[in-house]
Amino acid sequence: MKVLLVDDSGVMRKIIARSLNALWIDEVVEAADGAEALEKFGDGSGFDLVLTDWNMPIMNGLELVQAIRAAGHKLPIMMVTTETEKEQVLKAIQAGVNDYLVKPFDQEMLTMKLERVLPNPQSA
Amino acid sequence: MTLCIDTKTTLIDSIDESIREVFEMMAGSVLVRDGEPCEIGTENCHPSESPTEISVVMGLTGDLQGSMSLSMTNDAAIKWTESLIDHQATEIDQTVVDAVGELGNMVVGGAKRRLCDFALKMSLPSVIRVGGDGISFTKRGKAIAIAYQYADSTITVLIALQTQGEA
Repeated sequence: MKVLLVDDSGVMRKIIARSLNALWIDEVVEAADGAEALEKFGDGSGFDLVLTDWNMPIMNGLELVQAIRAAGHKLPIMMVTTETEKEQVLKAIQAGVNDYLVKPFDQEMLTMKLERVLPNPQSA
Repeated sequence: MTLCIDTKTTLIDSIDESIREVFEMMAGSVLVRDGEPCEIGTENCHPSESPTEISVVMGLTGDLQGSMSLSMTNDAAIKWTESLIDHQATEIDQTVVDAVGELGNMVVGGAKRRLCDFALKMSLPSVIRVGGDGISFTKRGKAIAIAYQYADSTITVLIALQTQGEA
């Protein structure tokens, strides 16, 4: 399982990547903004999930989601953000976000959310 | 807007709950409050005996205007970073600065979530390294301090809000 992890905070990327590696994720590809994420995403082949922050420089998370969906990719996308206002959440859902993880979170919450969008193949 | 007692209490409670949640969830630490919140400049309000060496500051706009900051010693910032990502440092480096910024970001996000009845916008956090006297405030509003014991020192939250009639 391969995940594209997008956050402008290197600290947050490290926290999430460490948590993912402790679960059933084999590979985590990191990007610091939406533009870098799109470049690394390429044609999307091999990726099973995108985890993205909202507020980032150059290209934000919402724009990234819109770009991925506009290109026709159907893989699950999860927002990991502090943005929880109803209007923001609706915008994200309309853009094609499958689930939402609110910062701060613990390992249990991350695992639960991950199970929803990308179930552990070994427990199937 | 007029800042009534209930608004002030709601704001303090929201930030208090938020910072505790962030430390508990992200670092597995239980923050203990060091006394009651108090208004800076009033008698018996000495929220921190520890020097302030690094702060993260966020601006508030919308229904509540002012700023919120979290200040701590370098040791507390290093301990927070280590708890967060096992980063070993003996002095402040970029990773520690980023971790303090992320702390501010999450505390503000959590507070905003709890203050959903207010149209509240908060700026991106700015991390600053300051001298022993910490952050100073203008006389345009009141500053409230909430102190917490952490890593043998104190983390202080300062909430500075403009009050009625002050632009």
